Amino acid sequence: MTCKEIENRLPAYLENHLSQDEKKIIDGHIASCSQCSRAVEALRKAQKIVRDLSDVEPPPFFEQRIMSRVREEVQQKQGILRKLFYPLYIKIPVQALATLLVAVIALSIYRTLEPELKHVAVPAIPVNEPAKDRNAAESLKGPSAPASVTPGMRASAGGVAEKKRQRFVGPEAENIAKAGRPDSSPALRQPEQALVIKPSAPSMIAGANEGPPFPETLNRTKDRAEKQEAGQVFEISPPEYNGKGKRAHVASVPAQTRATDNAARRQADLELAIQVRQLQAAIREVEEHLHHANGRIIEKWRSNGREFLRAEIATQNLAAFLDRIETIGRVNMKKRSGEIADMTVKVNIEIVIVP
Amino acid sequence: MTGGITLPEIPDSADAQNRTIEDDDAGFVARCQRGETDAFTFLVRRHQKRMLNIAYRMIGDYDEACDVVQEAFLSAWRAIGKFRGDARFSTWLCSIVLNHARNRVMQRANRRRSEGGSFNNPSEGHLVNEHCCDQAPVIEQIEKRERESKVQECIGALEVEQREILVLRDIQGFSYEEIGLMLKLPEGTVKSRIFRARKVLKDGLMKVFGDLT
Repeated sequence: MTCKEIENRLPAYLENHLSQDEKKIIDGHIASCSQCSRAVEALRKAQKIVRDLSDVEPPPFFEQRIMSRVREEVQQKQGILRKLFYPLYIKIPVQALATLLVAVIALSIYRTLEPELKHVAVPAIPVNEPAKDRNAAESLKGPSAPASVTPGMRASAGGVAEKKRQRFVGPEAENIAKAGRPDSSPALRQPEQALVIKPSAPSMIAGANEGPPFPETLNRTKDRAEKQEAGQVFEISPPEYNGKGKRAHVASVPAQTRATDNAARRQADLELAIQVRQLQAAIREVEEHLHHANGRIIEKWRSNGREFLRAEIATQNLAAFLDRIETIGRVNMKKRSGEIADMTVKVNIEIVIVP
Repeated sequence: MTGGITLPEIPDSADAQNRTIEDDDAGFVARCQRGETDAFTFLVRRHQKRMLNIAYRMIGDYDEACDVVQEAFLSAWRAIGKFRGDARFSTWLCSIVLNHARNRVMQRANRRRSEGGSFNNPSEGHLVNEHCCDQAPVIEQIEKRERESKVQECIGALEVEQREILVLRDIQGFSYEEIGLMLKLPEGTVKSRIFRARKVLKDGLMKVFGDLT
């Protein structure tokens, strides 16, 4: 073993971490080698020097400085926790109050907006049963004060129907109230004439056997009413009830009296005849246009394959309604003599199929 | 300052698992884990000097050693809830101090490289608050202080791995087992490193002081 190798093993030699054989070899070498002997001594000395190093003392208040930082961190942590998590007897009422406040605000906002939401809703067009009586003499002249008719009265109308002409005028509807003051359209002031809006299929009036044709001029005489009643007449009961919740029906009124009553009831300011290709589609369109014009259907009936509607429209909306129905088919219009000065207009609409 | 410091996990040795670790600090540690800062005061008072000396011998600068020890104690407080008692509290605390000291040594080395200074600057530092023997003459005290400063320079010249083992074994007297737990090294590696460190230190001291015999 060389001196270099011996020197590398000296620290372990001093710690007695070498095997017995290695230790004997080094002992023998050290005894004979002054350099390795000095190396052993130098190593022992170095270890002693390191062991004898003086300890350094902590500076004054070193402990206090350390603990102040520790306590500062503890308080900071507690402060954050305290901010986030109050004692329950404070936290719970605060949270409950906040929830209540949010609920009150939301409710007040909803109540503020509720009328506007209702205003936006579109009202449906009611189909009302005429519910008021009318003096027959007055009915000839035109619309007058409505009279109420109860089903009981109608049932016994046969006894007084010849002397009394009942005119049934439906109750005032919401949409009519919205019409406001009448603003007579210039079109209504035009003289009575047949208005051809849109030529459609060649007009073919249904066979004479099917019923009386729509006359060019319509008068409200008793003859006209009787002619209408010559065909198959059945009244379509309105799906909606009147204000009193009573559903009118003609139970035991004689046919002749019924025809007279119907004729009187169905007198209108304006008579329209629309020639269409598809009846049901045309009916729906007419009803839709009435709805847009804030009009209401008073009565619907069918006769000789033709559909009849009696409607009431605000005078100011009449022109727009007439413009719209021109898109359905060929329209012939007749109005009674004289200007329409009322706020609403009674319109009889006949829808007839033409191939 | 505590960024990047990983708290030591004392590995379970076979012996440690089969015997009860007697630790005088166990009671204080338990109280600290319940949040009692006063209990931590006792632990600071008991271990502050030893930790400061370890840090000082590692770093070579007294002021920075004080900072390191403060940071180490603060780290120990923060992590005391995780201390499982598998080793002594002093061993666990020493590991924290060594981690902080190692980082500080690296920072100083990088700073010196950027400044162009030498690793061992004898002019650095100031008078260390060393224990002075009142009976020794002043001259001897001064000579002693200068001698120890040079010794510290030689210790500072060792590689970090050799330095920390030398400080723990030859200066602080930890056992090879405890050093292995602190540094997470097997005992054989610890011994081979300490032997190497002693030889290198001996050579350095001989260069500074001449013949030591």
